[in-house]
Amino acid sequence: MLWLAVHLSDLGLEQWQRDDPESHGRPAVLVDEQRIVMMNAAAHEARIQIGSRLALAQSLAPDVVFYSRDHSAERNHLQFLASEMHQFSSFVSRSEPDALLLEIQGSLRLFGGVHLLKTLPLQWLRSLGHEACLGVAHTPYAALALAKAQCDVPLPNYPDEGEVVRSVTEHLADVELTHTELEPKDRERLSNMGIFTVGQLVALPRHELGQRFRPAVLEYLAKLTGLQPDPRTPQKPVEQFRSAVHLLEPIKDKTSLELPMRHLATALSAWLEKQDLGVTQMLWDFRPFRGQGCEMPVRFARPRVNAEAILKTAMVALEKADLPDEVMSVALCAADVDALSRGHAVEPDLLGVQGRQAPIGGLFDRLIARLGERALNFLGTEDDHRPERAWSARPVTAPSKQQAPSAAECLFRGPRPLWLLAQPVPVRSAYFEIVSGPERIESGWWEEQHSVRDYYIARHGNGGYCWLYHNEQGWFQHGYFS
Amino acid sequence: MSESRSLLKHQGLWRARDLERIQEVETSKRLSTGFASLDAALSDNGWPRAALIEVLCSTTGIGELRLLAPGLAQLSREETRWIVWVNPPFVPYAPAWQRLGVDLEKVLVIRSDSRRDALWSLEQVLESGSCSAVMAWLNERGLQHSELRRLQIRSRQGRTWTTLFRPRPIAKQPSPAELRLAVDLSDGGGVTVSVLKRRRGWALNDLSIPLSANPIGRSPETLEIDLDESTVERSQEETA
Repeated sequence: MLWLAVHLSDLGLEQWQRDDPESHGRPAVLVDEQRIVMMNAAAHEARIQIGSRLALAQSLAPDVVFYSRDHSAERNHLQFLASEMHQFSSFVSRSEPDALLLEIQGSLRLFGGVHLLKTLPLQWLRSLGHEACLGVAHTPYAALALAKAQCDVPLPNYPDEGEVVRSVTEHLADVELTHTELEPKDRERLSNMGIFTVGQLVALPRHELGQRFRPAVLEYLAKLTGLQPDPRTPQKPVEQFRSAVHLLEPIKDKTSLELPMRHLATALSAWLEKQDLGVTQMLWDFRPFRGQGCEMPVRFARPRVNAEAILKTAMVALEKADLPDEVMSVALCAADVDALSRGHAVEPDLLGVQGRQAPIGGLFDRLIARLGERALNFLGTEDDHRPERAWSARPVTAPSKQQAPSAAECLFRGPRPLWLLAQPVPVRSAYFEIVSGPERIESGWWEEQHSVRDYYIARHGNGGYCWLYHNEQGWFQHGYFS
Repeated sequence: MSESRSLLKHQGLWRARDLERIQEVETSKRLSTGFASLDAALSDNGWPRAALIEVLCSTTGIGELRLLAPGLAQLSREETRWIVWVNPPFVPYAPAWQRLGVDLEKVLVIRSDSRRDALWSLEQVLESGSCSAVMAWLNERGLQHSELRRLQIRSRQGRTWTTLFRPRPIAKQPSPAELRLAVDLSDGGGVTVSVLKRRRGWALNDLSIPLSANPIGRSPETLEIDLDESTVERSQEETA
């Protein structure tokens, strides 16, 4: 196991600042119970100090921006970041209040080594307005301690276990105990004893340490060094996609809805990509300010990920939708998702490898969106000797079926018409001239309505060739040899 | 006179009498109708691969599908693209089509009640470029010249052989379709095809196309012999 710890020391402050463009470049502080608990670099330059009162800070820097601390918002934001971090690893765990742990051994090959796995999350966090410190180690506690101490351990791109343990232990020795997850009380006692770094603590004999300190300290040490396993609860990825856009101005025409819809489709596409899923059914919800909204379900023939394809299909369905006069909010929910390649034909890859059929997913989606699912059918043959049952119409949303050459096909001998009438039509035999026949087809004895039919090819008075049959009820036409 | 002589030397001009030479389409690209006399009459030496054509017939069941069948079978063998039926009047009977060599895995049937939806889906199908052949039956009432023109343009863009089945009397109306065929029954069990309109050529009357009188497969009389094991095996190989 290889752990990447992401320490967001200024999370509480940054989560407000990023939504507040006015604060950029100005000193900013986070205030909890009238005391300053967090501040940015500009505030640091203004010589504001942690723990001082807000009034003092305002006298030092008149343009200081301040936010009050909100622990639950911080927790929610950390949770959001954790679920987004799934783009880098399948195992993400939160370490409250301000750090995330990612298991990266499994992601090394995909991302091309440790170096990129460190730079990419940093870049991504920076784009969200967060500055983070990273630590890589073989145990979660060691990674956290290194991250908090801002100690960069040089590692090869694909390190093996022994190398990691060696260089981490070496660097960890100098890390101060203030950066560890030990209780403040224990830290204080240790510093009173003259023990300030991890190296000093690890060097102490375990037995004696256990006699003088709580078991938690020994447990921490065992987990830090990897002697004892340290299981973490993974953050579960968000299981359902549901998002809404609330409009400032009501939208009255359908074409203007494209913009908010594009926004939602892009968000859905990003979510799907992270989950490695495709959407097969989605539900759009258009609501007026007051009153009844309109729901618009959209189905896909195959799981889709592409934002453009999702939007295009939704726009087709929108044409037919009966919207409220004024739309104030648009919501999108992924009602049904499916793994990208489960029983469905996968879209051709970059090398253009194709199956027997040309890719047609987008077309199917648009047709289904407008005509409904039942308007589209694949044709197929069935293993049955009765003419009505020898063919089938399969909806395009159904997973494809292997069509084996049927035994009935090999056995069945007589001519078959190109057109079949859905229901046999009673006819008068006088209009027809028999060309060939009969071919006797019996339905199964296990059926309730046992029937025996003698099929003939007959020529109609106007010249067309028809497929007729005769039974005790008379003459019927069943098809055309067109 | 001298002016017209100099015109003849112009590279961009050609004379109708040279048609034969120009007509030589690469054999690999041609889509044979399966009937020599019809191939000879068509400008591409076969069905056009990217155009709208019209087939006009008086009643259903006179052989209009058998006329197209060899071409469809060839397309389904050669291409991965789809063959689409839009609003067929009856059920295209899968076992018969399979026997004619059409790969059913590439066949899609679209049905819609309204004329607008049918036209819309037809246009979508053509625009997508993922269909090699389309056969469509549209409601004649209110079908406009501009709509047909649009279908012709889309067929060319999407490289689709689009066949529109229309009633016989419509022959008098002008149409933007690249090829118009009128199909009538002939006495011998085949059909006579009149080419009402074709590219690079005049209309042709009464081409006799011999469609097999006994339309598909063998006659029922041979049934007993067929049940022989070796034949079953062979036909399995054929279908595979």
